[in-house]
Amino acid sequence: MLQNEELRETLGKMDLVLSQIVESIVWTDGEGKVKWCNGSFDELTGKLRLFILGHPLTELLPLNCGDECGAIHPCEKILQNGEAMDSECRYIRNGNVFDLEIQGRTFRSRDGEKSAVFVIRDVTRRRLLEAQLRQAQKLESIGSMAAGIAHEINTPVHYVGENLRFIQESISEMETLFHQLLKGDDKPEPDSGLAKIHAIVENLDLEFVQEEIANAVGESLKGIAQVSRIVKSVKEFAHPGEPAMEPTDLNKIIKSTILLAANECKYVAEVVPELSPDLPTIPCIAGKINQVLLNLIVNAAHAIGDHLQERKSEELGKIEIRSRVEGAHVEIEISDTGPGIPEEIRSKLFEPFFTTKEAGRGTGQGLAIAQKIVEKDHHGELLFETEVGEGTRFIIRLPILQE
Amino acid sequence: MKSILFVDDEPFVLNSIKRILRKDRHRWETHFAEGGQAALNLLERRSFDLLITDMKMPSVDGFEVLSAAELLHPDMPRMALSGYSEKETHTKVTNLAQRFLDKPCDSEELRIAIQEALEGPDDLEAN
Ligand SMILES: Nc1ncnc2c1ncn2[C@@H]1O[C@H](COP(=O)(O)OP(=O)(O)O)[C@@H](O)[C@H]1O
Ligand SMILES: [Mg+2]
Repeated sequence: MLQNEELRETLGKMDLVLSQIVESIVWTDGEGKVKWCNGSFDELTGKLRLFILGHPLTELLPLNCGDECGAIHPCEKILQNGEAMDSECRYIRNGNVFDLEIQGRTFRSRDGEKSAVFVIRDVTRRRLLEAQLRQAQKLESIGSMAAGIAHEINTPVHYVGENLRFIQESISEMETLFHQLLKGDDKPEPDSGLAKIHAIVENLDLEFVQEEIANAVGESLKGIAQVSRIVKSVKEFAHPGEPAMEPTDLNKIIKSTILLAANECKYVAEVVPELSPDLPTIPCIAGKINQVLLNLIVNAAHAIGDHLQERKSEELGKIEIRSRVEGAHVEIEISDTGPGIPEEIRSKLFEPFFTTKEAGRGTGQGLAIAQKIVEKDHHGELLFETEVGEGTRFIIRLPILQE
Repeated sequence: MKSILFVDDEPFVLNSIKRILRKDRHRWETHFAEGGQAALNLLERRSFDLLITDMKMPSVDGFEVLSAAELLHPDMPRMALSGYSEKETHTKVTNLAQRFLDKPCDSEELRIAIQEALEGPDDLEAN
């Protein structure tokens, strides 16, 4: 009897201790019906313990896990597979969104009965911080390119201004000519008329002006179009954007990213896009994919730039950007003629804050964030091939259909 | 007539200068080189009364054009015209060129700068 009481007291203590843990801990039978849980799970579901015990976990935590787990509840999956598994899910209760990380493991209790234990972690805050970090890196990358982008805009602004001044001066001089022509008709004076008109026409260089006004207007319009394209790309890029997946024309995103990175690239490399015209629109988060592309293109430009400087070479390198369909995926490939990546650092490339660049040029977040965006957000793959002395090729593989 | 060589990698910039200086065709003879390499090729063959170059150009940049010009024709005045206004560039340029003009610049500003470079004090003896 005393033993029983001791046992109950110990159990009570255990329950108290386990309730202090922030993570939810749930013990279910083989069918997923809850046998026991800690206090954190009560809080997470907002239910009394009474209404939790004996109820299936899948009903207590109706998950909205997007595409990742398909129609099957991750807890269901863990029970089916009977093995340890981690997955991430989204759970909505009373309009509040929780990002959950679920780890589970099935086991057999001493009497041979199948059971499972789940540890559920609320990672909502962490996800939020990660999203903020991502946006910060995005703004940082465009911030570091601000001078280059200003230069890209400055050049057309310079010649458009010059052209407008030329047109203005030409028109005012042509007015003198018309004035003289009309005046000449009115009262023919000995020292006016044809001779004066000839002098004006000669000074005006009418033939040149006629031809060049048309050219000046044409080139100015092209310059203005270029400025608007750049401004549009900056706007598209900097905008935090809808985090939602939408059917997207990847070629269009590639082109506007190339435009943004133009000033980073053109003094070190020729950028050669080879975009498949048959690319289907694919579901993706455009604002995130252009961040990935920009990171990879700027990395390629930096690699080539360093390589040229080391060899004191004047010959421009090459950045090739391809898009194509490969089975059920779209692949975007960015290859450079840089120095390649030394064997020793290949395994560290995707680590956050790993960089070989001096401050101001890189903070080592580019590839870490790119990988997260491609693999976590889009269920794709970010791969690379590299050969020291030859160059590097990064490949983004995105599924054409999200599950 | 005084001759001027303009160097820029953007042909539309050269075209706009060509147009704006058409008025001055009786006093200045303008030449244009699209890019640094084209400028080097020209400078190897002949000298000009004034060189005006963009700084940031792919492959052969403004610094190289200015250095080559200093070597080949030490007496030819040199001017930089560039959209970059970073301090570092400025100080680097002042060693190689007599003057630095910011882009975008007013056509009048350009004209006056050219005039000062070409018709400065040592021009008196030429006339
Ligand atoms: N195309 C490339 N060629 C050679 N090295 C590269 C290339 N891309 C990335 N790297 C290496 O990977 C490191 C990490 O890249 P990244 O995460 O983008 O950070 P950052 O560019 O800020 O350094 C770089 O510092 C560089 O050493
Ligand atoms: Mg980077």
